[in-house]
Amino acid sequence: MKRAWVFGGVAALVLFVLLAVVTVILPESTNSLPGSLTNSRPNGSRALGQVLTSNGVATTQVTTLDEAAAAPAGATLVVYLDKELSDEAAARLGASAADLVILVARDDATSVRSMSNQLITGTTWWSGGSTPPVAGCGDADATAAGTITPSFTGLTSWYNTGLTTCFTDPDGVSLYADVTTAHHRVTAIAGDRWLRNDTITANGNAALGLRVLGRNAQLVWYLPGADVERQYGDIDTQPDLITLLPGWAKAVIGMLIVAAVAAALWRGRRFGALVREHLPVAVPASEAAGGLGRLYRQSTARGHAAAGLRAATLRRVAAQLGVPPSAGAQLVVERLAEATGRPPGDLALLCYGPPPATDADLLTLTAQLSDLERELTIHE
Amino acid sequence: MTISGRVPLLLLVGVLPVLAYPVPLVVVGWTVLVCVLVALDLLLAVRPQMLRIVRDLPTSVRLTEPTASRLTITNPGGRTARLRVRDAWPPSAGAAAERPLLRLRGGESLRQVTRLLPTRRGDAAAAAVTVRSFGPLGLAARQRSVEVPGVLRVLPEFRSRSHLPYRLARLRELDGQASVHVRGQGTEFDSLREYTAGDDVRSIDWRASARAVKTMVRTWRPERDRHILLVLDTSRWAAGRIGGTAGGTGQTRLDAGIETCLLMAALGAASGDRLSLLAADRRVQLRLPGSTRSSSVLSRFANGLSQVEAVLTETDWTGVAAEIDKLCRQRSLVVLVTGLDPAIYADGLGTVLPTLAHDHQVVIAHVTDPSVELRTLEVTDVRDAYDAAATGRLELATLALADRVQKMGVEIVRAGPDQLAPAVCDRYLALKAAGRL
Repeated sequence: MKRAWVFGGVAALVLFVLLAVVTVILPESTNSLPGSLTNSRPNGSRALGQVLTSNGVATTQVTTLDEAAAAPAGATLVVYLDKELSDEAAARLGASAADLVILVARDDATSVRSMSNQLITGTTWWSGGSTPPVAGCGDADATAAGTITPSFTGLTSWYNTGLTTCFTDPDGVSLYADVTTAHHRVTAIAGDRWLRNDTITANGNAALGLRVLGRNAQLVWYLPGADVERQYGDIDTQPDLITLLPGWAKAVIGMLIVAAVAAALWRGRRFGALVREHLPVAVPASEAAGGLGRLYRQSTARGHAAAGLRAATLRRVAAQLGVPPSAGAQLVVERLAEATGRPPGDLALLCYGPPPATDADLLTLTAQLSDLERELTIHE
Repeated sequence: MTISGRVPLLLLVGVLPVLAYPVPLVVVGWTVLVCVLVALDLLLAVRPQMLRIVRDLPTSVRLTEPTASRLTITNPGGRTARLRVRDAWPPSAGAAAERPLLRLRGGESLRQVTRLLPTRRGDAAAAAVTVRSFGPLGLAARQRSVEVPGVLRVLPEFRSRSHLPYRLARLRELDGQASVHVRGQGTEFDSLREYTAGDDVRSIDWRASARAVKTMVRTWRPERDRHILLVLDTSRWAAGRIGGTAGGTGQTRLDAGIETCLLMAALGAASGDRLSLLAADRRVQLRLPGSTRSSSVLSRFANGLSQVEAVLTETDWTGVAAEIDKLCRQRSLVVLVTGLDPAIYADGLGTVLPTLAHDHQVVIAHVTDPSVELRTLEVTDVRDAYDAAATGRLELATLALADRVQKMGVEIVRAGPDQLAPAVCDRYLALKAAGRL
């Protein structure tokens, strides 16, 4: 029975570890990535992808840089830019033979510059508000769309050579930039608010999307993974502690770990099972008195408590003085006064006085009563 | 299986070759080497199942007295066995954790002694015996637990036996064996003997002196062959631990009651009275009818009382009274070791006590809590003041109840846990001297 439990526990643990490893090794499903062509949630682009496919565009979605850079000439390579890319990755994408469409889904995306041959900058804010802007430019695709849903990020150009910008706000920041370089055409569109599943039907969003992305018969949709993300602070990181250690240290540490595991096994093995002890029941002998005391305290029954204290003290005192228990207050006080030499008035007040008004008074009374008792014991 | 401390040591020694050739292969190689040695050692170890183990155990021991459990281990095989043996006992048996390495050649026997110092009354059952059989290298051992049954009965401590010699001397005085003879009510005529100087002149039998030439005196002895029934209440009252909290280490009221029963048994047996014992709560836990053979009473009582445990119920006094009726055919001395609790008296003991007091001489032995009596004098905060007031009230109520009960002719003995047994015996002797049994 016990062995079965141990076996079950070990099996559960192994299963858990296996599941954890598999989860780490397997790539993340693209069905839940934002901007994915297979994501049918509001932040996906499945609607656009489906319409493109049904209109004869062969769409493929890739997540690795190698697959993206391998897009052939005459195809459209869409880079869904929701993270900053490393310089090498941006350069490789910029050198791609396919036409490049950069969807700037991130604020302050500096990678746009390296991908567009330093022509387009994606680091400005679009200040045209949330009203759909009008294309107002010579680009056929943008003009056909009319208006699109804007995002916060905007595009500008440093060198205005051969660059078409559309949806421009009064500050000269655009949402659409198109330029043709030596080996391919680069189109950058700011924001991801216009091509999401939940917004694609608004304004001229669908028109712009279908026209821009449907320029070629083949479409490669690239979702950059964490491997191409730009690493910050590469220059000033400290060298690892491990690399500072001398060469032999790793092996010695390995040996020490093995020895430590062996020591744990040595000390961890129990010398036979634990033995059960049959314990007898026990309760505090004074549970009744304690309970009654708590009751008095909770209901602040000072009168009751004081009467009890006085009666108990007087019984003991009377027994010491040889006064019968049935004696009246007068006799007791007289005898007490004889024995202690205190004035009878004080004693009468102490032993038969009014109940205490506060807890402090009760405490004083208790102290005085026990003082009286002690005094009598000393006198005798 | 298990490994010894030599395995990690050996692995630590492996640091030296690793320092010489710091490559992972050496680490793995050394580990594998140690593993192979461990496996070899395991293979060469004597199988624990082959060993024969016999236990030698005294049947009973008095609480706090040391004893020992002896295991005789025989190795019938040919190979030498290197063993460590754990004789497992419950913690209260106080087993010393000495497990020396035993070297047992083929065909030899060895004895391992586990010293026991019991700290709790009752039956202590030995748990399994665990054997570790090491291989010749002492690296690894086969481990196996074997049931070798054994039960040690731990008898009550009988601490109050120190009070016995004085009470026995008192008994002899009563018995006419000593020089003082007091003629009292209820004493029996023993014999006539010649007057010697120092005898009470009032005990001279003039008629016998006239018949004989010498002066004769009568000697008296107290009544003999009386029946005494000790009733031990094992209800919630008995579970009360004297002097503080439930988790403390002080003795319970039951312990004080057991001491009382044992001292009474020793004294009653010496005085020639017949003793019965009844321990009951809602049901009868122990029922030992009277025996005339005086020598066995104490051991019978001690044996029986070692099994008695307090339970958290109230006593069924009607049932107890019926049992008392069955055990006492004639007028007896009934010693009730129970509490005088005003809160439950009317529905419990009060329902049967008048009848009992009428039929028998009843003594109620009540254990008081000395720590509670101190409470009134050491008041430092309001909480203590209320507790002291409650204690005082309960004390007064108990005293009033005791007064009422005493009017029925019931004797009441109230004493702390250590003084109860001698106090009850003194009351018994006083009753005997007064001829009230």
